[in-house]
Amino acid sequence: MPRSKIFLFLPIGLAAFAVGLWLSFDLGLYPERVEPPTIAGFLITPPKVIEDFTLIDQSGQSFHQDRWRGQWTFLYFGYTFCPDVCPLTLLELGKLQKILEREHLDQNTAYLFVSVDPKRDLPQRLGEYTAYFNPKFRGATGTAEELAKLAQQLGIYYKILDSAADGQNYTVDHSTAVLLIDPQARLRAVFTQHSPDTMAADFRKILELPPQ
Amino acid sequence: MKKTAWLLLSALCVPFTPALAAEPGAIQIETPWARESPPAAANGAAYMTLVNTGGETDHLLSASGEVAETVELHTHLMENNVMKMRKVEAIEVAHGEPTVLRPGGLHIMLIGLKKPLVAGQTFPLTLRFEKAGETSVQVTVRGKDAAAMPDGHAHHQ
Repeated sequence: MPRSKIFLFLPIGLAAFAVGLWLSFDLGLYPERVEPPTIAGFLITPPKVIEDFTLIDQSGQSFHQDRWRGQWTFLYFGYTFCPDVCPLTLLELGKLQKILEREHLDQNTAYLFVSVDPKRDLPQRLGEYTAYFNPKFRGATGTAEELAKLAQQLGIYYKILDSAADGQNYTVDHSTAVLLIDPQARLRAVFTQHSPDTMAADFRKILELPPQ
Repeated sequence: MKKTAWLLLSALCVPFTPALAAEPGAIQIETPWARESPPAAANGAAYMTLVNTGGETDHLLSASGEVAETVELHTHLMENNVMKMRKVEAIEVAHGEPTVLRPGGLHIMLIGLKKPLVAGQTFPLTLRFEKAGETSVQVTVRGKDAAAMPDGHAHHQ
């Protein structure tokens, strides 16, 4: 090939490559140029769409998925007969709410405690129980079927050890994760470490991400 | 004469008897406490640190008290982020290393509280040890912000 042609085609080739590279970024072929943050748990990307469900809130009203829309929801599954781990986690969530409030990140957040023990946790009991930990907290429960459907979608495990002779004094094995539901009612993150400072820092990181 | 010799011999032995492991008091019980109960909460838990000052391993076999319908020894097992609370038959208290009953771990489970646990109040529990026998403690009820996890959230790992 004559040398003059190389000088002609080389710049053209380079220019085409550059345009291609630019287009590939611009067309969103590399949408994750922002490194996903490391959190104490799992960031769900893209956020997981959840099928609708029907729970019963602390006032005895139906609680559907649309109640999650328009705000971030910290979600925790447990039961009020739990003497130790559930109160601890709710205390930590109560502190998280105070941190977020101090940082003006709390206007658009909700906190929901879902009891997986509907036999003993009647709605009114849930209301009194959750309000003790923080006035913003709400409680809900549901039929065994609806609870199972929701928990399964969210990766929450629980098992009622209903073997007590009197049918009352049983315990429940359950996942201890705190879940974060995004304003589109999708699962966005799973927090496996419940220190309020860690959860607050992780929540800030998630807020800074581009919308999904 | 023989008798006197024996007496002398046994008297000599007394100071060399190892720490009185079989006697009550060989287990020291430090800071027994419980967290106040949230409204509508039916159950509670009591925590404390057991220190074996004797020479032999001892076991806490049971706890009892008027505070709740049933009092049991429990532990928590954390498996794949699933918390499993289980009854245990006994809690070992080995010499040299304190056994800590704490949130998220070993605890005395108070099932069916007869009345709510109120911060600032105390209630008695009777502990029965295999070797040290029975001893009574006063459990102090702390507010909801009582140091939750002095072990740095180990149970969440």
